[in-house]
Amino acid sequence: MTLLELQRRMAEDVRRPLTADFEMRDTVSLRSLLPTQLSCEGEGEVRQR
Amino acid sequence: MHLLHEPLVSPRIGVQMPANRFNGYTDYGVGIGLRVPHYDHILSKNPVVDWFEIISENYMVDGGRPLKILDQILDQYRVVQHGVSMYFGSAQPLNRDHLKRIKELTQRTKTLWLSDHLCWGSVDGRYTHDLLPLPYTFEAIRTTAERVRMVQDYLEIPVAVENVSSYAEYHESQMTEWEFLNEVVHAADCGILLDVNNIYVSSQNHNFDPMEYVNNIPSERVAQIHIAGHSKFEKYTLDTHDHPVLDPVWRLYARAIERCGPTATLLEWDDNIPSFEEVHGEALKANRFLLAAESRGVPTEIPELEEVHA
Repeated sequence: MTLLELQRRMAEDVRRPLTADFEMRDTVSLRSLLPTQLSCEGEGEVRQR
Repeated sequence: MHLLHEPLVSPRIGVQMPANRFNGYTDYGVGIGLRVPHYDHILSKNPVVDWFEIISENYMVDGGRPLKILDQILDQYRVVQHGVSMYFGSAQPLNRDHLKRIKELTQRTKTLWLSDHLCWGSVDGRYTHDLLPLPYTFEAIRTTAERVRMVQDYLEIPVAVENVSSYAEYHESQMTEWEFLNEVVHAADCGILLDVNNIYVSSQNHNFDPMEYVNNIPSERVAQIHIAGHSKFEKYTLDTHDHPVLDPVWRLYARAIERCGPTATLLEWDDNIPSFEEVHGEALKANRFLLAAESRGVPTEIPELEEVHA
């Protein structure tokens, strides 16, 4: 799988755990990748991570 | 009263020479992230602060209050730009409009170096607004390093890439994270913004020795260090930036300073932001390590802080 293929797949599929022992929680920011939330511009101040 | 264009930096370090070719000068000392809740305090009280780090994206606008505030800050303080959406690791071409606006801001701030994250976050024109980890592969090294070189060439200032905290791993990875970081910065010929809190958070999530990570970074490329607080949950550790720096992170910081020498240090505090004095006071705890490094020694003791469990 190329890097681009991996990134496309991940963008569509992030709700599925990427490793067998990893469990997504509400507070994990990766949930923001829900397809319906993907957009180009956000509002308000950007916070650091 | 402070004169305009005369930075309100502490006088404790007088050496005026680059620590390495990827940062500005060894006298940057300890800074804090510039945050909205502190604007009024900073502008009314003019506290002595070595430097501020700004999130570039918050000031990439055509005018209005953000730039007005920034200009007032620039009149009195040194500012370094830190970005959150360059996405060096995304596989597709860089966003030229974004780069253009970044460059315009660098000309305004006169930042001596610029940092952003070693991560990906956009694909097919869609932006995730998140700092997603990369697979540690040779392909990702080539792709990422090429993009870092392009950014560095275009902006005409040194670029430092920051290691991110992560909560997922890839089966495709062919090396450790620190090996990947080494390879990218060598191939890109860029600097490192070493986030020792991110190293600790990732080490807890992925079960590696964080000290081994710090011991294996190319110290001659470290332009800046980030410190911050994190939170431990039952199954993972999260990079929350919402309370003081914890003991294990201070230990990593001490080792990083021992390896790198005095290095521009920045405390990040982004949630549940307390008073300016509290944030700045926490940041200044780093001085004991910096001052010790200047005298060619590093303290063996660390500040006594309790672990915070969410």
